[in-house]
Amino acid sequence: MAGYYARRALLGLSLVLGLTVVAYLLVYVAPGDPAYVWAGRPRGPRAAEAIELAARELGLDQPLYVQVASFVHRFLSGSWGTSIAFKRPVAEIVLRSFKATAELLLFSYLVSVPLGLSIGVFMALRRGSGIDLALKLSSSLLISVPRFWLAIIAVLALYILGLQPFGRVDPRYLVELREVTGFYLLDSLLMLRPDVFLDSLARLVPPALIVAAYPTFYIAKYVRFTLSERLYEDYVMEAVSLGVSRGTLVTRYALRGVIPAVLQLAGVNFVYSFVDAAVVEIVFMREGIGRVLVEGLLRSDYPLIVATFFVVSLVLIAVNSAVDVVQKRLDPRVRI
Amino acid sequence: MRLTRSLVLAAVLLVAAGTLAVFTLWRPPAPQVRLLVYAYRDAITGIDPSVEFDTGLVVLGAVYEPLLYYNPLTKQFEPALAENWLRVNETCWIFKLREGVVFHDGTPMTSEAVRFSILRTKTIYEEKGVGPGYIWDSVEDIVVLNDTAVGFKLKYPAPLDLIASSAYGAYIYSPRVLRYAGAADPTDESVRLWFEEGRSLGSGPYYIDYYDPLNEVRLRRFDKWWGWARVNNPLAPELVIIKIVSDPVTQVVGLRGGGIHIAMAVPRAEVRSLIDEGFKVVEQHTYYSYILMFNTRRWPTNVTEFRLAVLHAIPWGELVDRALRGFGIPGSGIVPYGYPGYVDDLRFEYNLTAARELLRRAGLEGARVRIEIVITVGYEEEEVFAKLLESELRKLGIELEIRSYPWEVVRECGAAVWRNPEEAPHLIINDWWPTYPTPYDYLYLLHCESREWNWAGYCNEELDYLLDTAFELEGQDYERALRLYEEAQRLVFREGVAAALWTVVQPYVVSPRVRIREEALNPLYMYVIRFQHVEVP
Repeated sequence: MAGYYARRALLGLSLVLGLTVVAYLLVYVAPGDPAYVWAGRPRGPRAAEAIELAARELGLDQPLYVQVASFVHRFLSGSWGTSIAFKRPVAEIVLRSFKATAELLLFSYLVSVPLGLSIGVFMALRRGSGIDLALKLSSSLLISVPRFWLAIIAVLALYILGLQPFGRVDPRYLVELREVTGFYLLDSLLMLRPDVFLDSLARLVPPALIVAAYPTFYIAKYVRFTLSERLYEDYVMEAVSLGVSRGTLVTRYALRGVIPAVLQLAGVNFVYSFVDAAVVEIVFMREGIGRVLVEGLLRSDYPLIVATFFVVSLVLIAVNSAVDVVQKRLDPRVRI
Repeated sequence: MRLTRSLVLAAVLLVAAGTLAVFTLWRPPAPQVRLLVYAYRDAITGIDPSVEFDTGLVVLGAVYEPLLYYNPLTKQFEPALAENWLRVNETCWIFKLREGVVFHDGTPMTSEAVRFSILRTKTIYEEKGVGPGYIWDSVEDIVVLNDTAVGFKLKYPAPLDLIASSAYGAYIYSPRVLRYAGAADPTDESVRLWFEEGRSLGSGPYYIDYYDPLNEVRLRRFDKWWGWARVNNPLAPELVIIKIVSDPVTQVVGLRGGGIHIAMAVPRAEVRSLIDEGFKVVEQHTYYSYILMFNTRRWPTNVTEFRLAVLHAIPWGELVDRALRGFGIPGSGIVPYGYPGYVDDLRFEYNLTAARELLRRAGLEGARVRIEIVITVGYEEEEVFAKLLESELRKLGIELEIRSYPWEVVRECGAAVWRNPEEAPHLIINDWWPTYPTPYDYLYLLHCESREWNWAGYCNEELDYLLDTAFELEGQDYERALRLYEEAQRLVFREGVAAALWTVVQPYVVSPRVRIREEALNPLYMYVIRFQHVEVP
């Protein structure tokens, strides 16, 4: 197991390193001029000079390989630098936004994995029935509909109901909120403020459910398919003929074999959910990684973009590694 | 399997609690403070008062004060930190400062602070070319006469009262910033970073309480502000949240839901229906101009007759109504309406017959010509204009290819005219706003030395001479300077190098319960709302 961790860490590190270089190169070839942004969009008679000076200050006048090497070196040694567009420490901006996105994603997955399992089991036990068909159709629809579209529809629906789900918490509470962890649900509980908790939760649920739509129904479809097959295997049929209920069979035996694969699926889907969350949080006016990326890209803010990529890839690698380990624990047949 | 059941139960409980919260228990909390939420469109690019030259103005305008304010529409100065000022002679000015003013850290505002702030702004520009410090180019030295009087010695005559009222680069702050930032030199980067961490050290009616440039800025009422008694507004907000809401539709939804009190970027098409719903619309005249520029270094826009033909194909009469839904003033010349140097009779006429005649003179009648225009993606007004122009030019046999790019790319396309004119588009729209009230600010866009912003690639010694002479004359003979600026604009008009399409009238959509007093808005300070003049019951 220790060997696995070491291998995984090494692989993860090289992946992250590669991604950092690729991200830098992509920003380099993309249109836009970081020097111009760093110089504060100069307009005066000496604008050209200011941009030139900024380029020197940022090291952008160096050959590309020198730029990449020095940037990666600084970056990996923990010096993420200052955002070119917003003049704030990159680490601070990225971590703050990441916490906001993580809160959304955590809630989504707390809902989607068990819910997807339950719906899948429910469908499998009623295979071929009307309700199974209806759920199958709904699943396909919810998997294929773009999340940004769902988010817009949700915002409009809530608006018609007289509710406004924007932001992470009501502006009036923001002033009182003491940020300890950066996760508002947790912070409000630490403050012993149920009203803030409720407000924050109410604003979290609609976007979280939209992000959860994809993994929930993907898992449901998978569980339904896999369980359906198992439920018609000889040993199950025999058990049924002996009077064991299908429900018992599913929960006691059949599901046990499915859960590791479900976790694997959840891990893979996490990547898509990150992208979904980035879009959905923009529609719901929530701070988060999506907004940081958009603003960074629009302003050629390469330290911000690369750092965002770095954190996201680190999290994805960590999640997938964690899923592998849990899978191994649950299913001894799994070799890692 | 107990685990699965527990997970399912937990998920169901979470969703149930959230849904219950959304639909039954959740009600917006009762206001604890007098709160105003102002929805702004763009992320804040910086808040160092000596360096910031972009969207940070919306914050700086509430937190810092210049020596004077100026309203070009009324041609009136309004004393801010200076109570009186005197032009001793062409190169010497004295400003008498207001007494009893304190900065946000409680230290008094003195002549030394004025000297420090202006010299820092000027020096940063001189050393790094960064920021708006060039507005102080005429200043040779600033002399502290006593605690409340400061003298300016100029290198050449300049309208220092106008410069001191600049929207950018004229803010005064405490020299203590050096100590707080642990810096010895005012131009040290640590000072800039100290500000950018979300700190304020101005004397304005609000101070920065929280700063997240991508999402929101919170401003708290500064109780020691000198002007509260004069403003006499017990309903002024105690807390202002400048919320970054880039999507116009979201601004509308926010207004309707009550989470936003003032929105500055609602789709213009929605304004009428919002008024019908009881929202108020406050219109602010601005000097935010959209200037159409021709690439004078690439065929066929290097041919004067061709440029003039295109300008005659623009349906000028319907431009503001179609592109801005009426929220604008048609352009004339380059300098915007109401700004010093504005000339009223430099308008092109929509006349396709004249356009055909011009094309014939250029030898291009009946020829299949294909040109490009670059516009900024997401700018609805530019898109409408480009579409209108496309359809009109088609009548002349000219194909217009419309390319939409993010603003940063538009700028690169524009500046490319000097490096490689063939790569730069034939037409491009440059949106421009002022620093301090001088026509030079706009006309410099066509100066041969303006390599970053002269997207026409236009070089004309006569024009440069007119502009430079006028600029020098501003401090001696202002009327004559204005006549030279007018002459320069007539030259540009004859050559058809560039033309202002329109100047924006900014509609602020305001919640029915909020009142914006007239004094809250000044066209020179774009998108700045002086919140001390806003009433929130």
